[in-house]
Amino acid sequence: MNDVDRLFREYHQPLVRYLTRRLGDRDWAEEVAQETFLRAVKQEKIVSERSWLFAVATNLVRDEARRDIRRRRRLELLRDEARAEQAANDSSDAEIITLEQAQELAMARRALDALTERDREALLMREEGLDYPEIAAALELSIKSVGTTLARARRRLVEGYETLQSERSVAGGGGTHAAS
Amino acid sequence: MQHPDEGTIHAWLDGALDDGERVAVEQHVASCAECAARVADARGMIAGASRIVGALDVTPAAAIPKRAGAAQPSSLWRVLRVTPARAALAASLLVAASLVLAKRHDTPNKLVPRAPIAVATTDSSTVAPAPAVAAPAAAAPKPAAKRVQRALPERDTTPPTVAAALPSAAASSSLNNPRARLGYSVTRMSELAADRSAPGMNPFVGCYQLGSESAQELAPLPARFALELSAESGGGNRNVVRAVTPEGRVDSVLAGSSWRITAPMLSNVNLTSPNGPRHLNVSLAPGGSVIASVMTDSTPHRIALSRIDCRP
Repeated sequence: MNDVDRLFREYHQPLVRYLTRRLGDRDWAEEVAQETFLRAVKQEKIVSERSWLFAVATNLVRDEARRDIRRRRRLELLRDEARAEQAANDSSDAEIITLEQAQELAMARRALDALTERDREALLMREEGLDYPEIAAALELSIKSVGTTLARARRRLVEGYETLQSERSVAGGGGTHAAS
Repeated sequence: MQHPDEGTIHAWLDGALDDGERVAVEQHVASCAECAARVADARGMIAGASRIVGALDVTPAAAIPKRAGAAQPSSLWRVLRVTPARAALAASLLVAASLVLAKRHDTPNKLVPRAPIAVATTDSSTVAPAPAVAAPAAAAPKPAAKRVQRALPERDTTPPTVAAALPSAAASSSLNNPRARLGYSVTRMSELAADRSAPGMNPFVGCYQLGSESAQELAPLPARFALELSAESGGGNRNVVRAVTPEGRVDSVLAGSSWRITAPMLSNVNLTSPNGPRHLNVSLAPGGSVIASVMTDSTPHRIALSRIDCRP
């Protein structure tokens, strides 16, 4: 148990963040993280823990994503509605984000989702601090190709984002223009 | 050595090369202007990608409503729980057909038209002031490393706050009043869902009216408001739906008239009101209530929409 607690303390947060960025859904991310740690509990010993955890989480996401997407959407909508009802009863201290942040979030989401699955995963793992050998192990790549993958992922993400930005400004600014 | 390829440059910048390779690259780059430029470009890509990924960490109230005492789980065992709500949802069979919002994991190489805007606000008629943000970076592409520096506007990192006093602006006085009612009603998602025209369709497809409930309540529309409809799934994945006028034009809707929302598409719409061209921001808040807001300067003011029957 001590070992699992340590594992959890060290890796739960980065794993959830990785999954949240990957999935765009915090609750779903937490679920997958749960499942990942449950599997870790069952392992006798894990060599290279971070790599293993991220690999398992990534594979869980891939499997789920292919299978369950519509059903999940429905449940998410229902859940959010239930939540909103409840929140309406509490005094709401909901976090408010600005339009600007929402726009950036939206564009970042789209740009990231435009990457191939592998490129996206490699980039998000790198953002969580995994080194090349860990990424290689988690995604079953050669270490040599990690650099190429990251280079491609970063370039496509940035260029995709910039394209979205310029489309947005051409389309009229999405409402962030100052009143004239 | 020969010019290092892009993958090697990134590996070098990421500190992933072994000593021999690293030294070789360093020496080459020190003496090769072309490669030095490519290194600068790569640095820009790395920083830009990092910032874009970081932009995903903004979490509007939708996904996780804040509750007093809701802390990060500190041990594995607290995380392993099934909340009653989840169990109930999983168990309940809802006759309401599946609400399929735009697929998210489409062909990966295509940009799925989806990017949304949602502004989560409190339920009162006060508004969330937009903090003075740096001018959005709709910059023309700049060369190499510089380009990426402008990819994201610098965003202040102070945590967002609940609506406070509006900044005083030059706009008309009634709109500066946080409690000004603009006289429109809110439709909740449950109504929208029940109302949808075909199973499996986007629940926000349908007809809406921007109109006042009573003439006396109608406040003068502000100078500019932009229309963009967004639908938010439970996953925090937001889709923007297009608003199309009865005449079929996307870009001109009479305020007070009805318009039809079709498939999820990103769109800006100009509204034409008796006072002249207007822009109205419309969003679907978490939980699905339809909210419209009007921007004057950079301050959103909240309005709402009424769901109406679609006429053939």
